[in-house]
Amino acid sequence: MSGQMRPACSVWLLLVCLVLYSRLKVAASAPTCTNGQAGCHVLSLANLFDRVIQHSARMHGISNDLHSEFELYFLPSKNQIGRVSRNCHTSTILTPNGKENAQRMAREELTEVILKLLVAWGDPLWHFHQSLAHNHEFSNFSSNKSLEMSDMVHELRKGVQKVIEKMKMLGIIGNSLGGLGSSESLLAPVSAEWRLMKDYDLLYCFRRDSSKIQNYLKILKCRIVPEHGC
Amino acid sequence: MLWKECKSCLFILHGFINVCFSMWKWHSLPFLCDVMNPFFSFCRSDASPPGKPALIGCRSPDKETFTCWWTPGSPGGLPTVHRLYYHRAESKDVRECPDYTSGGSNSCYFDKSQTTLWVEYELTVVATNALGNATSNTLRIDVMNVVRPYPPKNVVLQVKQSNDNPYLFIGWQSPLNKTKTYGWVTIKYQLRVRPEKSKEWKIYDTDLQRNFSLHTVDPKVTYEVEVRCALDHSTWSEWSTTASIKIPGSSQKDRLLWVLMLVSLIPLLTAVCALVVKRNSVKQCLLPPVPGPKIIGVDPRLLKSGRAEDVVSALFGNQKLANMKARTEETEEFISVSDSRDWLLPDERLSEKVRSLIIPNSFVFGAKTQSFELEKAADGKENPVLDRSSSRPGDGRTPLSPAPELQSLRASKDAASRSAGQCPAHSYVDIPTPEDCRTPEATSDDYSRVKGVHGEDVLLEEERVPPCPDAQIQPANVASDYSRVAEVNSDTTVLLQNLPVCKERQHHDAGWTVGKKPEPPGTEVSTGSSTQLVGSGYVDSVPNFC
Repeated sequence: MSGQMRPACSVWLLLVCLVLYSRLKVAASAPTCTNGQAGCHVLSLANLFDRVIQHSARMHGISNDLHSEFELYFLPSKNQIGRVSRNCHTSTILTPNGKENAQRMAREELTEVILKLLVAWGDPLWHFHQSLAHNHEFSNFSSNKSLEMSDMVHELRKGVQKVIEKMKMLGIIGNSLGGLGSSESLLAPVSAEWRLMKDYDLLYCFRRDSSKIQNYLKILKCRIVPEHGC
Repeated sequence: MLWKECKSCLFILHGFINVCFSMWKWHSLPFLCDVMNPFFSFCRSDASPPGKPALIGCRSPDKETFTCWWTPGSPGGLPTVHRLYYHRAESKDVRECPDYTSGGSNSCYFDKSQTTLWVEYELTVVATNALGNATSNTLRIDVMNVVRPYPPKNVVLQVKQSNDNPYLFIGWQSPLNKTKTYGWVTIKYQLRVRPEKSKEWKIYDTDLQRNFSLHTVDPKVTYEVEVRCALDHSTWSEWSTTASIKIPGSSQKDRLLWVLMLVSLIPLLTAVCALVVKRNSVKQCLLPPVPGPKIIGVDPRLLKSGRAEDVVSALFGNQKLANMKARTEETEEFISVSDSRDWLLPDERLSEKVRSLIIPNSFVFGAKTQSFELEKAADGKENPVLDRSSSRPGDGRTPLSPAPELQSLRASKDAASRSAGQCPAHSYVDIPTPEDCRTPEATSDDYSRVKGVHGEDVLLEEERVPPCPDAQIQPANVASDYSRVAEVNSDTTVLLQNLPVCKERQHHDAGWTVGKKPEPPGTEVSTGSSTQLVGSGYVDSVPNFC
């Protein structure tokens, strides 16, 4: 009896393994859905927007936390008159400074602003993380947060680009916005200035910009995918 | 002409004085003030330039407007005017506060058109009075950093039911008036709950929902609820005003409980009613009447009456003894009063079973309790007892069975009820009684004559016996209803003399174990050989109601 059992058991195990492996393979390699491909779970534009907005909210939260931490460390005087203006390297990007301004802006323009901001912060944040990691003054906690922040900017940029593609596909916006290839053109004007910024100023600037990104995305969503309360 | 010149002169002089005053006022003020004190308000000695005001902070409740507040410095005793000046970080254009009133006193309100986000404002307050001014510190703010909403409004509490369980439904309204936010503002809420007596709050996040259902509530407890909100990543607002509500006791459970209680009460009530109705019987059952002490041959009622003849008759009256029946299984104990020590029963065991009971008919009480018991003497001590009993008067008041019948006697304290029949009392041996003397309850059918006692058995006489006449007075101290004992054979056998044969009504109960053989009347009752043995069954067939 045991003699018969053993080959049977091994066959059974093999089958189970095969099934599991095939399942895993299916899960790991998410098929890239092209238009109209059957069997793909296509996300709606509203869902895409929701994910992107959630992402930006998280990113802003982390930047907020890091900034508060830095304030504790450095205790800069908040009301120093000496620092007239913080020269953020993204100051050149024209951003609407209020609800009405954002609403008045064209969808394409607003989307472009968001993308520009995201592109502008990719490199600086990476370098910021590098400087934190090498500087032993800062805790691991701060260093990990800066890494997370840097990753998130990249992820968010990809997400927003997907949204743009979807919108182009749906005909919501025109083709005036470039695809992935135009990131270099966006990056060029603001290339060098960020290296001159100090860490604290950089964090301050990024906190402001992440707030802008989050708010613009929300306004954009309400305009493109109307919902209750919009 | 002169008047005109004077007027112009006065004018010039007035102007000169004014100029002088304005030029020299700071230096010559004290002197001038001393002289001209009543006329110039700034001449008060406690006047001074204003103290330095301080900017407290700013708050934007909706990301579209904001308000800033300051505290004035010492007033300096003179009316002081505060002015707020601001400019945006990048521009040099200094402007004054557009609205000093909407935000309350010492405040500056910036409406939508004045508010620019993600831009730093620099604010300054200047206090001015007649004697000078003072400038406050400069406050740099970014409106997005001072966002803090007001607490939610109209917190409403309701107790609702879900599957017979109460839960608390909490609802509130957004602090912002507009319902359409165009995605600009997303409010998230947080609430905290605690029972009234507790100090600890339990906090729940509800995100964007403006209501919340709390299921972990206990009935009959008052709960307090507070809500607060935040705009995106802003600071949390203050907690709203406390709302409280009491969860009512669970109505469904209470109802069920009451129904169950009522249902269980009904049999209880019926039992109580039954008990009340039958209280006498219950009393008899639970508390069997304790026999009172009885003096053999003495009727206490006669003694009570106090009349001489009654007393005499009580002590020496009709010596009619009650017929008694042997009841071998009866375990009642009776108190018998006798002046013979021999009558005391030495054997307890036997006494428990059957004891001799010589109770005159007159001491039997209670119409219902007409059963007499025969207690057999453990030893042959009946002789003197019998003698004694034979001298005992029976007044015949107790309606018992006719003379030759045996009845079991049960002593009862109920002296009141007597049956109507005035039949003579009978002892446990056959005694002649009148023919018409029949006891209503205890019929002669129920009893048979005891011939003697053999061992633990009672020997009964034959069935058919002519009725015994009454009042056969025996000689001397022998009552008519007693038989004379010829001889005591053994401890349990009594030999009787020749008895007048009487007819007795007999009751042939199925339950009786008494065997009755017809015997010719007048047969002498001797020892057990010619007589019948009564089995272990008792001869009393009067039902024991208990």
